[in-house]
Amino acid sequence: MSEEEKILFTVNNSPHVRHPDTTSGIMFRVCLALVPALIWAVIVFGFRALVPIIASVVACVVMESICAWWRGKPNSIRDGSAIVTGLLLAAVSPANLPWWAAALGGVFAIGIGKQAFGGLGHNIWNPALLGRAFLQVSMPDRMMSGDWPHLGVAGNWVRNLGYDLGGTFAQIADGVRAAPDAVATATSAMVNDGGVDVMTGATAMARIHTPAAKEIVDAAGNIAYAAPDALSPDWGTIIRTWFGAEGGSLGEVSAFLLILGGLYLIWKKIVAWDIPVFYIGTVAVLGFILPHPYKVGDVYAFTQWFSGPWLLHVGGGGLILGAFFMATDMVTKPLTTSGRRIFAIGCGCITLLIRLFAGYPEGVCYAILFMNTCVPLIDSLTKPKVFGKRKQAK
Amino acid sequence: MSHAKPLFKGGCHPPENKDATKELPTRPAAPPPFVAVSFSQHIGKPSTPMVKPGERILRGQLIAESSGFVSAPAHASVSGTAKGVVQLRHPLGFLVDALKIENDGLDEWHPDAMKENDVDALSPDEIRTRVQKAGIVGMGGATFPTHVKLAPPKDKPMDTLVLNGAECEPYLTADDRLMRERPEEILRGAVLAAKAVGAGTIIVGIEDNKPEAIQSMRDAVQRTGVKATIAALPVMYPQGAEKQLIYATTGRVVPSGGLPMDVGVLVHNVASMYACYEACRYSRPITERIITVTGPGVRKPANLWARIGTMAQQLLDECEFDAAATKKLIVGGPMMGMPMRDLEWATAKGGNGILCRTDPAAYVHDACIRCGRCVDACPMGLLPCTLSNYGEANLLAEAIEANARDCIECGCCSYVCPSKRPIVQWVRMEKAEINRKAQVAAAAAAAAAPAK
Repeated sequence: MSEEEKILFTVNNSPHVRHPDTTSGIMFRVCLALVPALIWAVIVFGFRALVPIIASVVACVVMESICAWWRGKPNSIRDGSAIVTGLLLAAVSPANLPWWAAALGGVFAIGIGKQAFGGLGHNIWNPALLGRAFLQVSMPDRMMSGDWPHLGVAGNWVRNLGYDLGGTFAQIADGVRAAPDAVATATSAMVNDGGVDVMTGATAMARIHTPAAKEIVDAAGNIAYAAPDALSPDWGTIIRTWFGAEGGSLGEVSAFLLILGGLYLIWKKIVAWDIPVFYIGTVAVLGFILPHPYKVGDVYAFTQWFSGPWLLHVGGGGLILGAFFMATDMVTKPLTTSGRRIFAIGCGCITLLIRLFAGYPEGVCYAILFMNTCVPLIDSLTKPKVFGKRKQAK
Repeated sequence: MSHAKPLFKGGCHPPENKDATKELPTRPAAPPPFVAVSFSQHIGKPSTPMVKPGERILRGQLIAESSGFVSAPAHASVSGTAKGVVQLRHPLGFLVDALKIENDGLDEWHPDAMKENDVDALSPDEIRTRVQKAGIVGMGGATFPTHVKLAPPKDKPMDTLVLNGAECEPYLTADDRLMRERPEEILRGAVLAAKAVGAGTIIVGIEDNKPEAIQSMRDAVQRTGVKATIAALPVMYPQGAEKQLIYATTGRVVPSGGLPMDVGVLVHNVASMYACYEACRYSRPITERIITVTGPGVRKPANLWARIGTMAQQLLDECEFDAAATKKLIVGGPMMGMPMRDLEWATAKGGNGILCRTDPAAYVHDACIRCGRCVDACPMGLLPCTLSNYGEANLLAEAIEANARDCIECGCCSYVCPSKRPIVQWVRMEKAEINRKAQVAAAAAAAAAPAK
């Protein structure tokens, strides 16, 4: 063959058409899906919520560049995964986290959580959750401060709506439990007093984490103990939790906007529906079925089976964020459909176990990290059946 | 016999892009001034040339005889004068020998190709012989000699003949037009092929984005009284892949590493069956075929009856080829077709389309993000992402363990990959390397044997 042959047309391998989705496109859409919830966070927590968001994103992007340069690889910030990690890390941090702490989390998430394993696609654990776990063990006070919403106009409106609707729902439901629970009343009073700019207090999840029993003193002076009201929350608490008028992390405060973002991702076929559905479903079912522990002095008592506050379990804490945005992280989830379902159910079980029986009020972060660890095992157990490999079952 | 029509697992659905040509009736391409008929239009050994330069040749005349069982002869597609052997580019990139014949424009048939036969009187052996003499190969693109498939071993009885009219590749409409325009010939050819292997059932699998072709074939079944089932299949690439088509039409699963004959099925492309009928009825070898010339690089896309050996340039010019705008020229469809680097090639029996792309469609790939889309898309139930990692790292033993050899190279994995990884290409390389090592081992064993 002579060398002067001219190559007139591109020669490369088939297929010559490709699906329009790209890695950076996927990452961009994940960011887009997170934006409404983060805007809501800025509304309810005030502009101070921008501090950890910006610090964490900037730290992630800078760390990604540094690592790429260090490893002699092309700069990988264009794929957008560092921005996603930064946003997710901010979403699981409290709004009053100092900028340096958020930045430290970002540096750890990208440096150790991702680049140390070889960059995008090679990490074992979700980098954002690893960053949160790092901050959680390093500075538990700052991470678990239970930052409460600033409650501007929108927050107050939701809060009042929560009480109004809560009262109405309760009347319709049983006509008995019309009063909001004690903690909420107290907080409400604080808010209505005004002048309180930044509050901290127990989050919805902390309040149902082994609360003290309710003392009932009868006429004869005998003290009886009953399950605390926190374990059977009224509709007001539930609605306030779902709409972000309760304390929590930045991105956790608005379950409904996160669901909206998650549905967008499912619609765009970026995440498979099975992980959120199986994860949230498992938590809802177990949250309803399992007896919840509470403290009677130094000993534990348990509520009845089939009476758990499952709506609070679903809408409170980081479950929605975790189920739609963290557990669905492509790199750290199993490859096959059946594997994804096992993974999601496992996440749900561990989340509930931690919430009810472990030291932390919230278990989403560690549940997902634990199941991330199990992914190679799940993958090896759920290999798809090769077409024609075994005789068809007849 | 169940008529359940299961859909295979996985697959993908690239934009079909068939609208440009699917309503265009076939027409003969302009008579070429010369043709270059390749001696390597089939899988197997090149055929052996048997004409001398300067000799007068008639259409349908044998110009190169087959050089073994897995080989096929080549015939002149025009009448004229032999001009000697030239070199053409094969779709796989290397150069092959071809006979250049100057067309005298008379289109005079060779007497051997003008004998009419009573097809009903042909015995299975006679059918096989005629198919072999006519140089028929798999015209869907695989180009495996058809007579080999019509001669199964005795211990593999066949009961079903499946005709492949799925045409699941985007852009291509050659089989669609053939089924609309020559349905009776296809069915009669199928009856002959079924007779050759003793198959009692004929099923024609057609994707249901070709309702006219389905209707045309059903009408032909009514008219001819041929006992054949026309199966409308869901549109899903690769519906026309052999194992997937067999599953969709019969519910049978070809075992891993096996052939369709292991489940008593024979699969043939509809165009091959048309050629089979022509060969048996009129003793005509393949001298022309339908080729879809399409894509944004041609202003007048068309379905052309092109003589075998017509130069690409001529067919493209006839469709108002925009050479400056075309960045990529593909023989076949966009999913499994072969890119051509230049225009120094001619149509062959297996070429069902020329696709002119105006974008180079070159991709830069990133690391696998384990999204699992390729796993969901793989019609063979493999883990393409894992295989691609093995390919990238050259881990051959692991690739064998992960069933690389079961890959049918359909390209669904590469199509869906958001990181634009050339997954199927890595698997192809793995398979080639596995085969090469097996051949080396076999050669070593053969060399060691006499010493003992």
